[in-house]
Amino acid sequence: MTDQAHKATSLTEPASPTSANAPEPQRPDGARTGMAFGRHWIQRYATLVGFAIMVAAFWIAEPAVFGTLDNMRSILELAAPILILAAGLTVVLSNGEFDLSFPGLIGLSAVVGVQLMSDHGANAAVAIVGALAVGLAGGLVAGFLVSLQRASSFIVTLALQTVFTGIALGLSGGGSTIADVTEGYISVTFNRVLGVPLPIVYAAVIVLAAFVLMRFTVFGRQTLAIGSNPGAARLAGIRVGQTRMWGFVVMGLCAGIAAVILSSQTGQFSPDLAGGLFIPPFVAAFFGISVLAAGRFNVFGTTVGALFVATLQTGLTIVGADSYLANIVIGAVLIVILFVAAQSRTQA
Amino acid sequence: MATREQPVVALRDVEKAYGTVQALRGVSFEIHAGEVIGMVGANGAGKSTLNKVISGQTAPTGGELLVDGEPVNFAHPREALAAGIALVPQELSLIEDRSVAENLFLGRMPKRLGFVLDGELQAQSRAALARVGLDDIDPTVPASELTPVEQRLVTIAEAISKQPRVLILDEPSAALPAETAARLEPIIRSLAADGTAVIYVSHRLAEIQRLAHRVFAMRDGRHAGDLAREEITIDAMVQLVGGSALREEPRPVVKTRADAPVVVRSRGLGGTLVHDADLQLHRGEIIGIGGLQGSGRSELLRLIGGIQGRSAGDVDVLGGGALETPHAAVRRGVGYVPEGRKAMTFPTMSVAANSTIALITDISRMRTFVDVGRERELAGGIAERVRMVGDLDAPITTLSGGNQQKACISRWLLKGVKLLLLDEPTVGIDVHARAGIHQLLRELAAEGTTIVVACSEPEELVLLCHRVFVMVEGGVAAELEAPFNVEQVVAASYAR
Repeated sequence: MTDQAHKATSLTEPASPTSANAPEPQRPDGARTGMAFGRHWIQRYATLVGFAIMVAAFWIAEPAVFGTLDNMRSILELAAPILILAAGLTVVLSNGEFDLSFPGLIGLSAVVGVQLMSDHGANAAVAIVGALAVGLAGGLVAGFLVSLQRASSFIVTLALQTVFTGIALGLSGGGSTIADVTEGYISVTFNRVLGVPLPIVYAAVIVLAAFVLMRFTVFGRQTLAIGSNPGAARLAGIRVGQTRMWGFVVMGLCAGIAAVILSSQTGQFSPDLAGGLFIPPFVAAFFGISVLAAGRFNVFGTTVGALFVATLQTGLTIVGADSYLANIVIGAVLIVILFVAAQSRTQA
Repeated sequence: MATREQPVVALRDVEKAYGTVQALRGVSFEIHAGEVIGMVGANGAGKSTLNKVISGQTAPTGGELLVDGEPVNFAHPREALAAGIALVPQELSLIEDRSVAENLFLGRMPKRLGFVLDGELQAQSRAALARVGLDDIDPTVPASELTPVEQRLVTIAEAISKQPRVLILDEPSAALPAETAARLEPIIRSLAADGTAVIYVSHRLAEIQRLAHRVFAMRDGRHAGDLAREEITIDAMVQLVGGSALREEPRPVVKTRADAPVVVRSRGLGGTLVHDADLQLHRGEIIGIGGLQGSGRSELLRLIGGIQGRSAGDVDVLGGGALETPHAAVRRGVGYVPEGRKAMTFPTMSVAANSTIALITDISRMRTFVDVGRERELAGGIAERVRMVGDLDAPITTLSGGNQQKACISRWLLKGVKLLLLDEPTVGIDVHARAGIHQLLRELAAEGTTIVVACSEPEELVLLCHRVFVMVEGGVAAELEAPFNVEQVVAASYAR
């Protein structure tokens, strides 16, 4: 076997042009030498360079505020829920599916967690377990409905978004704010470890877990295969519906974690808890396709994308842009990123 | 084809380099009005590149291109088209949700005052379709409603309707079953008779033998030689394409099946088209399923493999009863390779990941974490075993068609399947890659794998199979046992 393995490595070296079996070049159009290299470089780094230019612009505009360590920390803190949601979303998107229900699920998880404390006198641990359980259950419902393959996940989760939001409003007595949380619950996000706010630690752990899940596990490999070619995945013996369902469960758990962080940070449940968190995870995930011309959803790219969108939001606030303007900018950025992502996908 | 005339198109010492890869190395070529040139060569020999140069899709890096004796530099395929040169690419290029008529006359619809003249468009479309024998197609239906075969013919009709002086057909028959491919031949003959010069690229040497006035062979980016009309034989072409050693030997007939264990047994098996199929397949056999297009070849294969649900009868596979899903099939040791590589490959994944996907759970630690080292070792070993050439870490789309097919078959070899079902495994693959796949299937059968091949080409069935079931209109019309010949397969295919 070692002999075989040794020879195998030689296979990885590019076939010499004189080899009779040299594959025919794939995209032989136009001039390719110098220009093609340039195009290749642009594809790999365009969005990263855009990110750097944006950072530089904010830095130059507000050097006294933007460039501070405090600001970096607040960007990361803002990025934490985006990172967590975007990581979960990457799993679902990699499956070739969509999830529009997570903002509703965040509200529902948060109201259950907070009410366990306010109405039932539960401690922080019970409240957290309750919120996460609701997130898991919501993901399971979405995943199960999608795996029936009667309707696209886009429509199914759009409907669930309304259902989840409705239940959350009902539970909270028509959407009133519930501020009765325990001190332990607040400390879940308030404390720091070695100067690092806990939400950042949680986000780092989740992102790392998602990276390992997608890169090094059977589930991740099968998810990529389904996203790449669902028909071929089925023929290869992969249980497509089941794998997709577990993707939604991962997303649901991430929504539950985000719900705990957000309600702990604000010390309350309010109906607009997930407001502003709908679009950024999508921006992050689609940004990720273009990073290093990956050509597919990937956790590393998503992470860069989440930092990008958090930096953009913070920067706009620092330079004093109105929130309506921030909405317009982020929406426009998503459109641009979708175009860039489509480009790197067709080229991959 | 008077050779004293000026050639319509000529190449003089044309070079083409893609980066460091030299695709064409000083190729000279000419074609005259009314001439049909059969272009042959292994995958990667430079046939497609040569035709892209002629049709203005890529610029040569050396040498010159002459049209009617005048040097030209095409900056865009449009310019080549204006000079009367049309290329029908290997890949289908129809817009699926547009009507057939719009596809046929995209960008050149009959108009008045900016409005499309619909009646005129339909009439012209019907005429163009009739030219390729698609009289019964309604030009107003979306292209997606056509079968792949009809779509292929529409792309050819589109090119013909431009009335080119030079028509390049890059493997027009590769994706067509043999009987449909035969429909192209009279069309090409009549075009040539009207003075069109035709460059016909194909791996199907029998077609070239029937059609070509001259054979132009390519090897390693060079012109490997010519054959005049009277010199064209399959042996001579094979010789030019890659040397004499590669002529495939018909398989030795192995008579072991009588006492070999039964792997598949069906009784009255039926699907949507297939009915009353009674089969008994033994360990180590290579079984062919022949028949015309639409006879139920592919469906029978899918019914055995549990890819498609059965409507009648019973089938037992490897002693475990019928298979209900592909997942169940894989677990029981049955691998299915569908027709067309796109149905089988994961384009965003590496060659290695493509060849290990079916057994990724088996080779993982605690059935959860992918053992990347083991994966690489297995992928490298199998690549060597199937003689696949390519970078294991690159996306599978970087491989040639034949190598992609090998990577897909590798998946089932690594899984160690006992029954391998293949639908048209060598369509669109050059003669050498094809011989390689045949060789591999023979080796597998010798090791005890049962192999079932659904195939439209009688020649391939004769070359490969111990036993063939010939389908006619969904039923098994004949069972032929080696030695049998092409004529017997064809005769059985047309039996009633």
